[in-house]
This record gives sequence, structure tokens and C-alpha cells, in this order.
Amino acid sequence: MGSTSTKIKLRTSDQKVFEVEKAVAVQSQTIKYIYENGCPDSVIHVHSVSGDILSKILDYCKKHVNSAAGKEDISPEELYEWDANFVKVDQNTLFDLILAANCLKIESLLDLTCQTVANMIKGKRPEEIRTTFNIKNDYTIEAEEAVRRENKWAFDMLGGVGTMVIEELADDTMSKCVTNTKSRVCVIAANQIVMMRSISKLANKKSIDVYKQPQNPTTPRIKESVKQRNVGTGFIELFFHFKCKM
Amino acid sequence: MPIPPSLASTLLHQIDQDQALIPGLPNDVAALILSFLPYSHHCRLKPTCKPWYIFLSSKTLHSLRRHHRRRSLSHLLCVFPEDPHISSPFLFDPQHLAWRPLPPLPCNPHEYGLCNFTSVSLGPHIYVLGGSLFDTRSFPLDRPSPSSSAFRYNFLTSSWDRLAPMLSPRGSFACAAIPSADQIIVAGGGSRHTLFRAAGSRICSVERYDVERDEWEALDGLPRFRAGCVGFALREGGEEREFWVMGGYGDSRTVSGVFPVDEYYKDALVMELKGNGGGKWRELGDMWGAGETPRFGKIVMVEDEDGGSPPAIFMLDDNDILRYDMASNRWQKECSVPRRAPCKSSYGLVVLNEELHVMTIVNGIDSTETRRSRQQKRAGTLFMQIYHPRKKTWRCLVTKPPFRQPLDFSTTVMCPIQL
Repeated sequence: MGSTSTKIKLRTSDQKVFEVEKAVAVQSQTIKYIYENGCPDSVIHVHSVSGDILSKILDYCKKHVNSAAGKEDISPEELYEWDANFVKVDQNTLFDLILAANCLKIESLLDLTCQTVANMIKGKRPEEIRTTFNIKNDYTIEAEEAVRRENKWAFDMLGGVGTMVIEELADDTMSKCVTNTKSRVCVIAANQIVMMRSISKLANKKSIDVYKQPQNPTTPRIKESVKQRNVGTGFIELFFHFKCKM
Repeated sequence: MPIPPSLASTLLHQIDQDQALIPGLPNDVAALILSFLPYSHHCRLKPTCKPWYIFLSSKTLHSLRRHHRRRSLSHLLCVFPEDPHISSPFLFDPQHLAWRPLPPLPCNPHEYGLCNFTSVSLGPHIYVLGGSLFDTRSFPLDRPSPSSSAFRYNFLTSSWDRLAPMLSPRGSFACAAIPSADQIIVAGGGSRHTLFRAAGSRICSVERYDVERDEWEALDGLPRFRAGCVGFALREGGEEREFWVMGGYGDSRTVSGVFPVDEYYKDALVMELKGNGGGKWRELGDMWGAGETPRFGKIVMVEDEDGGSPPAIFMLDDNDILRYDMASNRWQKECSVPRRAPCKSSYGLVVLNEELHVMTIVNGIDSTETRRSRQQKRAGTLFMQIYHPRKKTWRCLVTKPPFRQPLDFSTTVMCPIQL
């Protein structure tokens, strides 16, 4: 290997010792501070973090350091995907990651994990949030009603259903959306073709083949087949299957 | 969101200081998590529990989003469908397709028909300045007069405040916010009203408003009087350096001795912004050569938030997007709008989150519904085509605005704001 990078030893709360490269470990501002102000040869204790969590965190730091330094050939989109998969863990692990990132002061990991929890909250109704996060409802029924009425925001989408915009189109793309029968679907393909279909026209048809003559004759013609399924109360689920034809 | 007094006092009595926002996490981390929530979801989540209500209505949340996590700020659009004294402006969140009405401006019994005002956002406030209106105290009654009023909407208290009026009343003027100095600059303007497509005065005065002192100060005036112009402040290195004014109309001539026709300006003017005052106006000359057809459309500026590249200025004229080249003082065609609007309607153009939003109203009335909706005039569907200047790609969004009156983009005032 012949690597001359310095290594830092970290001991966790359950007495596990990890040896990592300095560049990876100093992603944590806390470790960086301790390393620069203490004796560099001794082991740094990270009391509040367990071995499993620290091992995950070190994976994260390593991935980000390597991608930033160019050691790993990974595009920003792939790194984004990797981050998204990184936070697909159960809630307890996620909270542990948040607490550890907060304690170790790793800003990008803290932002990533907090954004993940915020996305969980964003998609839920208050009752569901209380269940998920074990929050006690301390409103009386009248007070809760009064607070609900204060909300003047009208969402054009109802809990995740509604108008769908498909931005990127590749050959053989499958996409699904749930929408009500009165909304529209907009499709952009190859940055040149815009299709807009009213759902009421799509409903009652098993599948539709839609061709749109592109402005530039060399771009592929898009065939879109749509299957619809009634999910009740005026909403239908649409499955889009796009195939590109030259 | 104003907390009703009875609920606020009961909340303050009952809240336990140690009550966790999210059990299992310290409150500062939970506050960070909640600060990532988009602005339009805040009200929806207040019924979760009382600590959430308090936190989501607090100033700490706003300042956390504004100063520590700028990336999580929601980019919203404030739309004024009509005279804001009588009809509510609406706040629109394009990312989540959500609409929210705002309270209308405090009503003045003597003034009506406000239009051609300018709305600009500075920090977490929306300003409504000037405009052209009819004043019942004026004589003759049917002549519109320019207004010098200034109003500000405060999102924390959900109320409109009246500010010091401008030194010269004006409508259809160039206006730009200067965030680094907490100021607003206005230039030019006139008294033209949307009911009359011609006539109206024009002025050349330029003023600057200081938010902290609540004062207007006169700056060096424009070389010639000008109304209907557009203005922006160009940022360089984190600070606004120049104030640009483009286009507009000045003199008018009569055709066949009867019809008044505006003389449109083809040039741009630049004023250097200095620490304690503006400089002199520098004329950049005509933006179209002698043989070229000048184009007059809506002009907007797209700023690069990270400050990496200089701001780009775009014009939308009749299905074409033109980009301004500062070096040569000329416009070049950038691209065309993918889906053309029906010929009679006009486009609305606004910049949100560094993207150009081109809006049209698509008539959403279904043939089966005309029997029912005879009395109701539907607002139709708002179709937005969004252009990303750097990626040079288009995408689109469709939403149904909740207000009854149909939007007319030639007169609707819109203002982007970040909350």
C-alpha cells in the first residue's frame, strides 16, 4: 500500500476501537478539535457513540472524503443515491445517527439525517406523526379543532396524490402516480416534447398509446401506455410505461 | 399565523419547559429537524402537539431557517390578482402546489382601483409600493392619480403595516430591493391606470427607502422621465453594486393627431450604488441597433445564489426568451417557450429559485360543467413552464388557483419571496 497517511484511533462507548485515516476522522469537527489540541498518539474516546453507529458514520465519512478527493469515481447523482440508501434504516438507528452526528459535529451528515426525518414528517398527518414519534397529544378536542381551522393552506395535492410531473424520461421508464380524475398529467421528454393530458380523457381507457410529433425529427418518438386502476373515492392510480422509439 | 389570545395564554400556562419537541432527541436537534420543513407545511403540523404549535409560530424558527439553513428556505410566490385592498393576495408554493390567502391591505374608503403598484420582497416581508388609483377626493373624479403609499406585510404577525409614504407618488416604476443594505430603490414611474391604456404622467425622480429608519431619501434623478420601466440591483461579491433601469416609455406622440402612442425607450441606465448614496446615472445606450426591431417584453433577472456566475437578465417577448449580454448591450435569443399560449392571453413571468417561470391560464372549464358554472367565473388552470437557465431545460407545473377571478397577467402583480 505504501500509504503514509496518519491514522487516528477511536474508542466507542462499548469499548470497540476503530482505526481510521486522519482525513476521514477529521470530518467530525469534535474529533478534529480533540486531535489538534490533544496528544495525537493516544486514543480518542467517543463516549456517546456505540460501535455499530460509529462504524456506519465512518463509512459515510470515508465515502464523502473519497468522492471529494477524487479517489472514487462517483458522480454527484450517484453520491446522492448512496446517501439516500444510507439513511434507509429503522427509526432508532436514524435517531442514533442524528445524535452521534450532532455530538461529533459532522454537519453534512446531520443535515442529511435531519432532512430525512423532516421528509418523514412532511408526508404524514398530525395523528400519524404522534404515533411515529411517540408524541403525546396535549390538545383538548376543541383546541385541536381551533388550531386545524387556522390552517389556511390549500394543497392542490391531497396527501400525495394529484398532478404529476415526470421530468426525466429514458427508454423503458415506468412511473406510477395516484391522482384524482379532474387533474392533469404533464410529461416532458427529451426537453423538447411536452404532453399534457387530462386525466378524465385517460380514464375509461385500458391503455392509451400517445404519440407526439417532435419538433426535431431526429429525436425519438415516445410511446406512452397508461393503465389505470380505480382506488376508490374518485382517485385512480395510473401506471405509465414509456418506450422510446427512434 | 396570529395565535388567538385565549389559546396563546392557555398554551403559555400549560407548556412545560422541559417538554421535548421530539421524544428521544434534544430540543435543539428537534428544532433543526423542524426547520427543514417547508413553510407551507408549518400550519398543517401545528395540531400535532402544543410545543410544536409554539415552535412553529416562533421567531426562532424563522431565524433558524433564514440564517443557519438558507438552503431549506421555501421559495414562494405572492400573487395579487386584483386591487389588494379588496381582494386577498395569495401565497403560492410551487414545490408543493399549495395556496394560501393573505389578509387584504387595510382599506381606505377614499381610494379604489389600485393597480400598477410594485411589490418587492426584502427579508421575510413583502412591500407594496405606490400604484395608480382613483381618489374620491380628487377633482375631476375619473382621472387616476399616482399613489405614494407604502405597505409592508409581516409574516410573523400576519398583518400589514403602513410605512412612510414615498416622496413622489408613482405607479409603474422600476424597483429593486437591496438586501445587503436593507434598502429599496425606486425610479421613474407615472400615473397610468390599467383602465386607460394611454395617457398618464411620467416622472424621473429616484428615491431610496431605508427600512430601519423608515425614511425615503431622494437620489439623483433619471436623465429623462420614464414610466413602465423595470429595475434590478446587480450583486457582485455579496453586495449590491449597481441599480439598472431598462425600458419603459417616455414621451408620447399622437398618430393621425388623435391616437396617443408611447415612445418606448430602447436603452438601459445604470446607477452605481455607493455606501451612503447613489452615484450618477450612466447611460448604456440603445439595446437595439438602428436596423433591428426592438422587442418589448417582460424583463427579469436571475441571480446566482452562490455568487458563482454573474446574474443573467432575460426578456420574454411573444414566445421567445432573450438573454441580455452585458458586454455588448444587446439581446440574444436564448430559446422559445415550448407550449404557446392562446394568442390573446399574455404570459406572466417571474423568477423563483433561480428558474424562469412562464405562466399562462389554461381555460379549465369542461364542456360538461358549463351548465353548472354559469354564475361562477372559473379562474381556470395555471400552467407554468419553468426554464432553468444553466441546465437549459424546461419542465412544467399545473395548478388550480383557488381564487374566483381569472388572472390577467398583463396587470397582475407577482412577487417572489423566500420564507
